[in-house]
Amino acid sequence: MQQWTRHLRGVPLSYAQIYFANSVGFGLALMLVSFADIGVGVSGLITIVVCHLCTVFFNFNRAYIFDGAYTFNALMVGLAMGGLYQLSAAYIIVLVIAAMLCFFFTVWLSGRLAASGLPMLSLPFLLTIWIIFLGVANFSGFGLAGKQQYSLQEWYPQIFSWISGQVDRWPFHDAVHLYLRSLSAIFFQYNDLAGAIIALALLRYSRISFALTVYGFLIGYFFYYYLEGDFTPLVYSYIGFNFMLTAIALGGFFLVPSAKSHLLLLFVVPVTALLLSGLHTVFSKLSLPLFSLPFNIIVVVMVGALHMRFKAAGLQLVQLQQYQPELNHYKSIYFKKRFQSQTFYHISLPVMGEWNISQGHNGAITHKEEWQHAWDFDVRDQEGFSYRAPGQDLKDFYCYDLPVVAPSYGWVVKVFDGVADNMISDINLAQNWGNTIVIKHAEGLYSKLSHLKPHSILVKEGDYVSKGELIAHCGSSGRSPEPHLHFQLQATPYIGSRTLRYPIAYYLVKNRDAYEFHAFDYPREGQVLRNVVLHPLLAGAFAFVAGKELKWMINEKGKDRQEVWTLHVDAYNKQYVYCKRTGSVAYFVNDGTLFYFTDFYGEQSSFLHRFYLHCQKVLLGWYPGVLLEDWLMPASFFGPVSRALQDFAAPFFHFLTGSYQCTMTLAEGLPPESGLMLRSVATGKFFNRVVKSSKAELLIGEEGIIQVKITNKKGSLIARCVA
Amino acid sequence: MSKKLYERPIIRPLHTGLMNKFGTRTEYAPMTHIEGASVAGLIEQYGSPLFVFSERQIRENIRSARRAFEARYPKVQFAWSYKTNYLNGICNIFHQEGSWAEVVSRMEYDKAKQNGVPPERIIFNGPDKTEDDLRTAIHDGAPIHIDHLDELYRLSELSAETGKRPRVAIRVNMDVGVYPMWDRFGFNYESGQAWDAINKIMTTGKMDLIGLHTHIGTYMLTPSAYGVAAYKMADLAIGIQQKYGKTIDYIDMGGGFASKNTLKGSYLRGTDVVPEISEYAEAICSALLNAGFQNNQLPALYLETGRALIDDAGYLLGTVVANKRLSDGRKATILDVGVNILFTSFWYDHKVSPAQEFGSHTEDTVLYGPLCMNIDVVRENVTLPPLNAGDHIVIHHVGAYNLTQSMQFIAMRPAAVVIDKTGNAHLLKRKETLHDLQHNEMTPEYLNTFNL
Repeated sequence: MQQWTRHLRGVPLSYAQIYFANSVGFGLALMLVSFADIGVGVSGLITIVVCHLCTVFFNFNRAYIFDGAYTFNALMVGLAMGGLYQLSAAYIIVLVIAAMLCFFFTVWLSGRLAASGLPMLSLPFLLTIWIIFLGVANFSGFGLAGKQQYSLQEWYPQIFSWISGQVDRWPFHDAVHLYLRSLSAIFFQYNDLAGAIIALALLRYSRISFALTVYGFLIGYFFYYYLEGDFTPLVYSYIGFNFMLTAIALGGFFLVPSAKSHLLLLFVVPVTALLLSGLHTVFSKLSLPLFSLPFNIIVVVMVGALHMRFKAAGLQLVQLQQYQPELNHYKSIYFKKRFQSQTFYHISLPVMGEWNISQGHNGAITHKEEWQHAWDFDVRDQEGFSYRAPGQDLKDFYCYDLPVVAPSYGWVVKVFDGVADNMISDINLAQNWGNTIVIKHAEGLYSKLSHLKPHSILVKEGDYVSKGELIAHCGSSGRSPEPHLHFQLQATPYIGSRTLRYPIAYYLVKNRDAYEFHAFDYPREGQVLRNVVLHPLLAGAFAFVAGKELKWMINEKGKDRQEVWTLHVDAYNKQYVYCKRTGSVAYFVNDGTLFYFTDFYGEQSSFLHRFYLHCQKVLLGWYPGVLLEDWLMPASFFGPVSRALQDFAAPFFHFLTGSYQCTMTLAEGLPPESGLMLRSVATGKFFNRVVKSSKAELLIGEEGIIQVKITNKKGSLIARCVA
Repeated sequence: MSKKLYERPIIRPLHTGLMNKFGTRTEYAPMTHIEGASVAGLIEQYGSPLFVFSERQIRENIRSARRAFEARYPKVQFAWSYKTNYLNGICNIFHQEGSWAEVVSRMEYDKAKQNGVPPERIIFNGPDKTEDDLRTAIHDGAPIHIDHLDELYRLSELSAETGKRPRVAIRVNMDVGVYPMWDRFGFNYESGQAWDAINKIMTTGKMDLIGLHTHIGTYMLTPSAYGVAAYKMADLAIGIQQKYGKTIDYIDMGGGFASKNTLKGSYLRGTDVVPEISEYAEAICSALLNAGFQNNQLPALYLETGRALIDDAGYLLGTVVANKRLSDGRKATILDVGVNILFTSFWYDHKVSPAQEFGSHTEDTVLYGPLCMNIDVVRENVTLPPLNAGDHIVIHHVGAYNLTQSMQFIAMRPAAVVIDKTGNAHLLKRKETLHDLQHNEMTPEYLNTFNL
């Protein structure tokens, strides 16, 4: 995108930011509302221009101008001043100065607060506007003239009075008036029409935000109503919007919208009300308007406090801001379900081939108390014996002298060698761990491999080892009556450290003749398991390397079209597929065992979106019979109406769900060495009833993905990959 | 009360100074049953002699071999060496256990295909592949292991003619420090012949070089020799990667692992000196793992183990025809098992057990076959209890090569059965008849009649 178009986009986004949104359309609607009074509209625009100029001139990060983060506080200053003063040369000078002041407050405060994980909200606006109010009083020479009434009411009396008239007929009409006016007051408008327009725009942008404004307002309203509090600050300055902003901020913006976040508001909004009436008393003595101060205080305090929790469970802070409560909700729920894996360091099994867990966590023999989260490995034959007859010699045991490999990347921090192997059924309690290697994978994550064969250790302290690298051989030293490998994860680097409950990233469990795929799970006693070995065709087909281009010849309903994808890596090392025709983007991860998509932005009609759905998760090893399952975003399946209804209900329950299943088979008509078939089903469910479903068959060959065939009720699509 | 065992009296010279502390005794217990099936019953049902295979033993062999390799190397594939034993039933047990097929002739190739092995999983080895054989293999996409330059040139021509790229590997021979060095198959590593062949394949651009193959010998008693071979193969594979940027799919280490048979002239018994499969696995896998392959570019490891997987699962049952004493006083026993069906008796001292109870006395004996040929000697010297005509014996470790190399001579060849896990016998091959011998014979009309 051109630089100047980004600047241009930044203008409406500044307006949207005031309501925690980042939609250009929503911003434009707000902008329109602001121009109900020419003075207000123009003032707003002037402040935005000032901020853009400041950013360019002083070389601040333009990204914050393009999304409106640096401008929305100054914009509020402009809107507030435009509503109070008449346009004049002196006014414009003061406005520009105020905008600059606010801009620098914004830059400085946002930087300082972000370092503590806190939002800046409208604090720069409050500081600026109070300084202006207090300062202007001393400069009567400026000749700033106050305004008397609101232009909109002069221009459109019929529409305005019609809406007010309609509202008057409803019971609780006071509340509705107050709601609409408070909503508009966020925007320094004080009338029902502006409130109605903003409410509709907000509803269109985000159902959850809209519902939260109503919810927050009602809590505040009834709090006053039942406690018979002093309602005047609410009525005369319309600062009831503090409840709404607090509700959006804590109900769905900084916290993931959920039933719990709604419960939290039941406590937070009354606190806001108390802050409001308390501060009002103080500020009215200074002749300063309170504006959004109570909202700022409560949100900063709550977000700051929640950051300090010992365990971030229950109420969840939004990790990656999506600027829409719906997205914050869906993505956090689905990310939590799907990508918990990304929070773990990937540990694999420290052996090659099929091994048996002879003792798991909380084992009956030695895995107890401090050392309960460990695994013992050995090798069994078909009859379940770990040795061949007569079983009196170490060499009779299948696992004896087998290679032991590094479970993951890391530094060898401890090597202990020189303990002789025991005779069968003897134990060495003096050196109970036997020959041992400790590897450091990350801060606070170490793995320990024990009972190794003496003098079989191939690494020394300080060595860096790669995942799967041969490091020793299985032995029977220490407290080991028969050859086996003891494997545990621990938080400290010592031999004998207590164990740490930590999952194995990916492994296959043998179930009769087939395998089951386990991700980030804990192997259990008696399971026979193995690491995933990659299949060259699958690994090759999904080696999506940045710079590569994929060209698809697509035939759908008899019509031919083309789609060209390019592969990229962004500044955060995230890989994505970009579809040139539709501008769609699909983020993916290939971690060497799995290929999976993480996110999609763009056109649902694109082939990239279908591909994203049907390759949601792919195992890169050839294990027919393995079933991979995953969740899909329901947004991929349903129309706007059911989705809007789901949006309202989303914090409480989901009636729209999506699921994904993938299996692999041999490709018919193609030799197994040169062709495989992936079959996946993507399903959309309405109250657990399948309503949308599509099947895909991916033909994989030496060249990569040769053909994708996607079939649903409406017909089928065939896409062939050309170069 | 059971009848007391009667054994005919024997006369033994008294040797002093030659006895060891265990005395001379027969090393074997009588073997009355194989996998739960009685020897006498089998002979009664299927005749004598009779080849008997233990399904349990075969499966255990291949599983433990797979376990030994798969626990040491990430990508392992066994291919059943057809020439070792190509009874369809036996082949299919291996295929059921996940083994591919390794063949060395068109006959074996067709047999493997007919057994249902996908052609891409039939490794086509051997020095003699005709133009038609190669054309078929190219068409089917089978991996072809090139033995000599003439074959390479032929493949090059055929790929131009058929318009299909052959999937090829070259067979490499090398000095691995054991004598004799096998250099008659494939291209030599040390002299640069192997590189010459690789360069020719890569520069023609008409073939896909998918693998490297070696077979360093047979009945190899030194696992370290495999380590040397694996290292040299890895060196070639890494060299190909560096020179041509081509990653080889697999390294095929061939076969040659020793079975538990005792070689003639060996002082110790085979079971005592022959390395475990895990020792070969250790040598090969650690050489490959330490060879310096780039991460994720480890080639698959193919193994064509034959003998070591089947030898001890095969038994040959026989019957004593007669006893006699030779001129030098030695005892001789004539069996109905001859060298025509027990070809391996030329290089092994096969373990022989009586199939019925016997007493504590033993005698040095020569075991002769039934052929009217002087060379028909099954064991030149074996310590056995006195056997009577009609007694049965069990010859051990006969699973490899005997059926494929057996020869119809003088008498008809015997039947072969497999004992399943429940002890039931299934016929793999019935006893040959005169019809089998004669059905492709033709007698000219004028030779049909004679008067005596």
